[in-house]
Amino acid sequence: MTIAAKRLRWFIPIIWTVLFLLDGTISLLFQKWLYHDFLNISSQVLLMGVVSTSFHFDTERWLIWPAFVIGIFYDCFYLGIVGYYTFLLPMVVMIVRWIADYLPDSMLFQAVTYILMLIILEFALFILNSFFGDGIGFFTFVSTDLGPTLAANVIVFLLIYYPYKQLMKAISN
Amino acid sequence: MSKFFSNKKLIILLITIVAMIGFISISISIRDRRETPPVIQQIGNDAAGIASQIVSAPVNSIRTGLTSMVNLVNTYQDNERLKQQLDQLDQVKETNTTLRRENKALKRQLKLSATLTDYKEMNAAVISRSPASWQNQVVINKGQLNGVVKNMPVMSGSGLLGRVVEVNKTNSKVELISTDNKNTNRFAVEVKIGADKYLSGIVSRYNSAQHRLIISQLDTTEGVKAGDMVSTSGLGGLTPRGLFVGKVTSVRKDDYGLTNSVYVKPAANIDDFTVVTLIDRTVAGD
Repeated sequence: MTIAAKRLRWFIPIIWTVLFLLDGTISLLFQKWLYHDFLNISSQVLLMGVVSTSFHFDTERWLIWPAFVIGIFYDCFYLGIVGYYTFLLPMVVMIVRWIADYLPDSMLFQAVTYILMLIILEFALFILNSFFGDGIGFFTFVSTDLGPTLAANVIVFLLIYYPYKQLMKAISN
Repeated sequence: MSKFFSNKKLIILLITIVAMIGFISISISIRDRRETPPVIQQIGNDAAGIASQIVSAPVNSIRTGLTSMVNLVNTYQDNERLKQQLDQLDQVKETNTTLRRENKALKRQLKLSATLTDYKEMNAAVISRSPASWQNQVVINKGQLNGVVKNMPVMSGSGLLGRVVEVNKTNSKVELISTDNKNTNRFAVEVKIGADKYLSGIVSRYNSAQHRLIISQLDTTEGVKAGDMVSTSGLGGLTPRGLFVGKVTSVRKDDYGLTNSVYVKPAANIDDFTVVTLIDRTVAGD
């Protein structure tokens, strides 16, 4: 294993952990605006990091394991119920890795992939919640949760895409 | 495409979905049954809580700075307003002390050590909030070591905010009163409609569009009018009596016109808070 590859194995889990904790901090800091009348926005900075990293390093097969571990932490710390992100995050890594084979690594394609993953994740959470009797109606979900969450997170994506790319570049060489 | 959905991958996907549903069901049943989550989960939560405090420290310090600047601007107006209230406050304080002393003496005579109204307070800071919009949960920095117990009611400012749903060693989760979760415990409340008249009901929903708590299952809504005080009733064995919830704004018919619901403006600022107060009921529930 080269030194750069070794460094990746250290840095990526650390970066993901920070992003995971940032999600909670952002949610608390902006709670006045995020959980409002007809807007329920969930901050998904961690997902952005996971998508961007797996897109950039699509040959690193081990990325699925840090995603799994952070998923467990996410479930325990934020949701109190283990099972949602524990399986969804590794799934995201796998799908992104597969998509990245066909698409060039550019901002546009990463953004499209990120939006796609966001829809899949939110939709999977919605279906699971409906299954466990905690669901809202489909149209309410699309208009108050999915739509605003997409809009807000795409803006966040545009803001942090470039710094995150530089960070990935810095740790990979 | 055909390669991606090979037999092997389909089987893995299927097993993953089954495992996922299994894990979630087990996890929900454990959470509902136990006073504290399993030890491994507790350790994970405590570690995440400490790390979260480190990560959010710079953000919080900026926030505190901003808040104090805003406060500085508002200080003058506040001062004017508070000065007017100050004159009355001394009188209220004096009455309060006298009444408390009298109450204590009367209780002693009746050989009552604690009643439904007795409770102890504990302050805690909010360290994180669940990003999931369907959850309405926050994490606070007090846990089992500080004496937090599951189902403790939580206040913010002057009103009821929610209740503790999970206790770890150094932090715990609070579910807000505004939650849509249908499986959660409800608050038993009473509406004061006269000098000595109360109506009991249950907080059943939160209307986020109007920021109103909705009380249903009242025997009657006769006599309830806008401005009536609503507080917890102490029934149900988890919450002490007399925690302020809010004021009535309107009484409306349900969807089918069969029963009436009372709309209450919550006294706690449900949208924006960073410090909460935990309430420890002195009389244990059965």
